[in-house]
Amino acid sequence: MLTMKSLKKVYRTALVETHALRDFSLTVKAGDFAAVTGPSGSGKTTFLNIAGLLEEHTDGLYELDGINVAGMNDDQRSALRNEKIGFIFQSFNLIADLDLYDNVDVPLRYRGFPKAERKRRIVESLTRVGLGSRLHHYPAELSGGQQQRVAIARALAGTPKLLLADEPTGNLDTVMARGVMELLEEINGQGTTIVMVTHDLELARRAGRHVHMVDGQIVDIAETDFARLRAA
Amino acid sequence: MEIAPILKSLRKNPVAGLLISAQIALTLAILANVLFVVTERVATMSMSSGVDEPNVFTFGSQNIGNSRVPVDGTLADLEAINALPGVIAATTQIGVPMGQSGWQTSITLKPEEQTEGPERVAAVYMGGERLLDALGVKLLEGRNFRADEVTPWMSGDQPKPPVVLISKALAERLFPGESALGKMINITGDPGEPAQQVIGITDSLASPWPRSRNPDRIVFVPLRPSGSTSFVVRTEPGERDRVMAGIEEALFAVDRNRIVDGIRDFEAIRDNAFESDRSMAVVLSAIALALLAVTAFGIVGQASFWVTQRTKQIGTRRALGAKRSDILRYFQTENALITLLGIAAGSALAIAVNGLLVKYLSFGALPWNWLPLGALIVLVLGQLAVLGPALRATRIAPAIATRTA
Repeated sequence: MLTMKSLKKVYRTALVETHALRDFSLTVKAGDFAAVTGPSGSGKTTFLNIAGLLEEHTDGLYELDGINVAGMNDDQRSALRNEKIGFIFQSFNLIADLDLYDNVDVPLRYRGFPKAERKRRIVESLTRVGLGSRLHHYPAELSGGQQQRVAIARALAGTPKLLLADEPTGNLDTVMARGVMELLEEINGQGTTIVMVTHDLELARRAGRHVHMVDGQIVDIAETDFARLRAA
Repeated sequence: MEIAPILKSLRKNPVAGLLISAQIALTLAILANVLFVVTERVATMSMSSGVDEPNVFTFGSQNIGNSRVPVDGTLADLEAINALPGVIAATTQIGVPMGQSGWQTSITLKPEEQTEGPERVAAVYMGGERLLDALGVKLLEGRNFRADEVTPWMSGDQPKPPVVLISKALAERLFPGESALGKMINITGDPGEPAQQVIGITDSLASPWPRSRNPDRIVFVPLRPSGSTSFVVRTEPGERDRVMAGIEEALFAVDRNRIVDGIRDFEAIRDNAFESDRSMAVVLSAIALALLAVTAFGIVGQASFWVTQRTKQIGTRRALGAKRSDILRYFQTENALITLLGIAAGSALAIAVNGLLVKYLSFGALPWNWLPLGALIVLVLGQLAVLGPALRATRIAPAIATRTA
């Protein structure tokens, strides 16, 4: 699903050159649930941005679902991002002026789905996260956990192959965080590949693979018997 | 198109959008009326005088003392001017098209007829048998004055000639559907038997007051102003400036006891006639441009604020798959919707403003087709004004979506 080989990302200014990713190699197979952890400045967000085609890498190979993304122009990257990737952000990034229905509709419109198809997907995905009865509520009328569920519904509505979660529980209390994590596990259990960036080691350990980064490099990859852990 | 969600979003936060719409409405209301008035003035300024303008000039001659018999002196002057090389015709005159001074009268067709108001008003042009030639006006029907029909006229005389020429517009007004030739009319302005016979119909030409209600109704009378009076001269093409430069010397050769003044070509006459129209057109155009600029800056300011305010939202949209063109289209569509609301309100306001202008300032009624033109201008203005901020929005990186601040 996601293959990175000897990936580099360098940020350059007139005065300084920062190596955010160095010789970064990672493979995430279809159906995996990978968690990426590391201290601040370790390159987690850079990895997520590159994986999500939000930024371009400086050197190395990146293949998303078998497609080499090097050399793609901005429109091609946007289209590929829309089709293959669902994003879940730490601060939800819902549009406050739009109700839940229209929020989930945003990526579907960019995909060009017809109206009826969009409606089916919106209702289906919001129902899947337990908010099917609140289609026309606004984000401000929901709790943080519910808002993150809307963001998950928005990410799922386009049936992406890869779900990228950026600190999905970072703004939630323990109870809500657990609920969101269980939802992500359920989604992964249904076959969607998830890559989650988190500070929370406990959450990371619940993922099938735990990738630990320091200074732009992977320093440890731990495999977990996810099914056993979940059963426990 | 994202019309529905944009509308919902605008409804959720209506104040800024409504303010811009109100500004657009006001701009359209004023712009449509200003455009109409300016265009009307420009059309008036470019109206035809009926005169051979490039080759005609006028001047005045004031006699000093009593050195000359007025009638004989005028004949001597005319003889001298008409003999100048390059001169086609010259005559003394009272009233030339667009000249801003002259006579006017009310015309009646029956002894008991009373005329009030502008319906029968016509300008009176006095001149000799060479007046038509001196202006370059064509005779369409009938005949010109004969030399023996022309009599001298001194200031204070009441014009009661036996024959007259009238312009085509006046002929059609007085005798619709029939020929005016040979008909009797009363041009004295007093009740009485019509005593002037129409012997010729001229082509259209303007009155001395082109902004008057009926600027093309003219009566020519065979009276030759004499003494201190004005002249009109028509030259061969290309000869006017040379003849103008030598006219004073030519008249001094006849008699030096005089003042020759007001030597003006027809461009000067036309400029003077439409000075207030031109000033009004310039001032109104400046106001319209200033208003458009203020509105454009308002749109730029609001759109710039929205781009800054929505930076995270734009980044998120990009992260969710929006192309740069989608972001550009979003802002353009939003602006178009706000502008259309302004256009709807502005159209009603424009009609109301025009109603007041018609009622209190005697302006013309605004034709309906000025509103779409005004609407198109503000729509294009809105799209151009929003373009800069919208392009800035397209440059917001999608990676902004993953920043937590």
